[in-house]
Amino acid sequence: MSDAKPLRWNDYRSDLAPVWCPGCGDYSVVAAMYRALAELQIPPHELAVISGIGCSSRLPGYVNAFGMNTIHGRAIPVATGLKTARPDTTVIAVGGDGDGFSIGGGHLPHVARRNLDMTYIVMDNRIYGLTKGQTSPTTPQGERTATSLYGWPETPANPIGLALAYGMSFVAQSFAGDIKGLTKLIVQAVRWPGFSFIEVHSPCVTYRGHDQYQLIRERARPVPEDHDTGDRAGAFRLADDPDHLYLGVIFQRENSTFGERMDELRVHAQAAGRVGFDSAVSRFAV
Amino acid sequence: MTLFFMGTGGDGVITVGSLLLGAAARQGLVCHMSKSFGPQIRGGESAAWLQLSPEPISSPPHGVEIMVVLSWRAYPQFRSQLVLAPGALVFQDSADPTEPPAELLDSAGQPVVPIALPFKELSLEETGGHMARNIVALGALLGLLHLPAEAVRAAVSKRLTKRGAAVVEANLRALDRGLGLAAAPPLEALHRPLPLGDQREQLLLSGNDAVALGALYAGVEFFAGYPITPASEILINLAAELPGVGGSVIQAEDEIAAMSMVIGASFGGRKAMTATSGPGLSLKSEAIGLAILTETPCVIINVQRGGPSTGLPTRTEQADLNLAIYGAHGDAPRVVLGAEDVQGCFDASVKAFYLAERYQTPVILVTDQLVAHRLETVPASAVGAGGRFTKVCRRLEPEPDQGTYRRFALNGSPVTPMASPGMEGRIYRTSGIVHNEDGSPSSDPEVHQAMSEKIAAKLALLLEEMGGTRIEGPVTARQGFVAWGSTVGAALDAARSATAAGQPTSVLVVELLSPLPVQAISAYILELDRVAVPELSFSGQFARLMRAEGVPLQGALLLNRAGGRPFTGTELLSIIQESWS
Repeated sequence: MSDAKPLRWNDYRSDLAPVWCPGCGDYSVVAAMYRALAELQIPPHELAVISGIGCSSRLPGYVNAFGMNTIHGRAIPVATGLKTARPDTTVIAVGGDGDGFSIGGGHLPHVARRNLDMTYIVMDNRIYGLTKGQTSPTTPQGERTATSLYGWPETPANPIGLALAYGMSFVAQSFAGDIKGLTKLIVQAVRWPGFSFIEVHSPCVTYRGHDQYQLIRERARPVPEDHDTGDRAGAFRLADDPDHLYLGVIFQRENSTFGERMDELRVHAQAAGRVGFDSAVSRFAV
Repeated sequence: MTLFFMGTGGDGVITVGSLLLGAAARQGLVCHMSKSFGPQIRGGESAAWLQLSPEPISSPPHGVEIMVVLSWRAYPQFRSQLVLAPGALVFQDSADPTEPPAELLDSAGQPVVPIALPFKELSLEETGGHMARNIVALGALLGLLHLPAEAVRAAVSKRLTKRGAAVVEANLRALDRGLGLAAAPPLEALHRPLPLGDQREQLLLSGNDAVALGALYAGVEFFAGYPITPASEILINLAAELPGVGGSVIQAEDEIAAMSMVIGASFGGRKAMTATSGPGLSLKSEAIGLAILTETPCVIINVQRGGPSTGLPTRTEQADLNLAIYGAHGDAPRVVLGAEDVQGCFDASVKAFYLAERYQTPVILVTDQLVAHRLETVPASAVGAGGRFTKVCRRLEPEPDQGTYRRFALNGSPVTPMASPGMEGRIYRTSGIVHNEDGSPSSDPEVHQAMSEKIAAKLALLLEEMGGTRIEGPVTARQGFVAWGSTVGAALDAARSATAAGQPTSVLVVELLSPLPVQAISAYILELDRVAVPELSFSGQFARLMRAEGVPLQGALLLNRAGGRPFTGTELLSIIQESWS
């Protein structure tokens, strides 16, 4: 942006109109994202939003930034490649609970171990919406869906508990009914120097009903003021509370980022004389 | 000269093979070494085949002229692959507790009597242990072949330096005792002096090393991979070399992640690559489809091993061709290249990057275990600017000052400028969903048709630029082989022998498997009276591919077999001589 005029929230809106159902929580998530990006003043051409497949994975199409709507479950590794190759780009990965915790669940421990400096926002509606109402890894046990006419026999995954166990360095929880709180969390997450994860409860009104907003609101509580966000055991206790959803930052602990670690080993490689094609060839001389 | 070393784990078979290979390579000889192992990681049977020649070598080894047995215990593992040339010398350790086979015959049916030499005994005398028996054997061979020992002494010292000066000294004495064996009866009458080769700077590379060097030459900036036999050395090489030039290597959590990371890195504007073998390529297929639809440049190396499933992980095959060409749902055209030898791996790796970037497409370079793990001498001058393919390019990027940017514009060349993050005013979004010219999702069948035509048009341009085949051998040939990948070597060898025997024979080397150069292959076949298609695929995937594409293969001799046992030139020669007499 050549002129000095500050970017406004609608500078981050693309000209593609969302096709989500009326009442979908994801509208609030993208709205919060526009506001957060305006607060962060990230030039759109230095931003990339990467998603997998699902209703919420349509989100990159609605953001004025580089974007890629990839394949089911692979937002995280595509974003990992992009961020590693282009550390100068702000990378936000987005997707749903099926995409992130089921088909793509195997990537989460590893992206956490790398502590890439990027943000992952999961819009958790606890259902497969795009394929019309099958159970997801976060669907409550006993719930009746297209694939569980007699009640779902599995216990749901605990995304916050998983994030903590995997060692993600910034873990937060939010709700699509709280755009202001979510905006604040996205700003914090993007500023966080490391891997930041936000679990957003984003209701699917079509397959789980409008009462989801009310049900979530009843369980939602702000993270207690006396909670130490550096205390992982304490964070686990919040994640393990069956009656409440604690909104806000649940855990944060700084660690070196993957980019910093890669820079370090580049220095070692150069010190070892591994400096390009000719030096590589010389190692094979007889 | 073909040599065969055999033993069990701890005998140091590969070490003695490597040291002898280095000695011969420094003499300017062309050298190949293939290694073979039992299924154990440590302590199993192991063997090394060495071919040393002043002339180019193209075919896998056939008749062994010198065999060194450190332990006969390994013999059952390798006997089916072993052919002794007439007059072969077989040396065994006089202290080997395992009895030699009751009857050992050469290829002419004559009995071969092993010569017992005191490898272990001399090792005990000089080092107090039996570990240097391979070094004694090495000394004997150096003497027998008239190879200079000085550089070998230096190499032995370098290998053992961490174990202290006393160990180094003892091993050098063991080497001298081996040299002494060669100077005394019975060996003194059996010398087989090797000729000197061209004095030139030589490299010893495996196919996987060569692929990694080719990628570095082409300017690879990002690599993600997952360990898998027989492709891991590419990951290992680049993990050592790429960080120092500012690149990145990620050992991914799985094959799908590795492929996805490569797509992300290339979306970021960087030259990106992964390497795997059949099981990994199966897993990567969906993501390769994403790269095709989003026209994302990337290079995928597939080092074939026996399949399906876990198959024959340590042995070669050419049966991933279907997967490489067709593996993904929908119409998913991509570029597939083959490589016939170690030099070919370097050239094809450079070419793979050129094509990926030039035409914004995934390029799958298909090699196989035989060339991937074979060590070959390559002239230093042929790797780099003196290679057979040296074009390097970067993808077309949009001009900064043009009007509206449409990533997949349909009104001009099918190769359209690709922006990457950081380019102001050139923002675009793309998708694995069929997309419009600007990258936004579309379910319009007309758009799908037009974008399919765009991708097809790119590959048509590529075929026009590359050609994709070459003919080796006399233009007067009335018969020939059509081959791809590592089978080319055996075909070249057989064709040379047949030509020398008065039957001019040529080889059509198919370097580009997708898009297939149908016209060039058909024209070659129509010129000939007799054609053979050898391939290491039980179902004959290469022949089926050609047939499906309309290549006239009626009457061709199709030589298909399952993987594990590569064709040799001698074998192909006798097949065509029998079939075409």
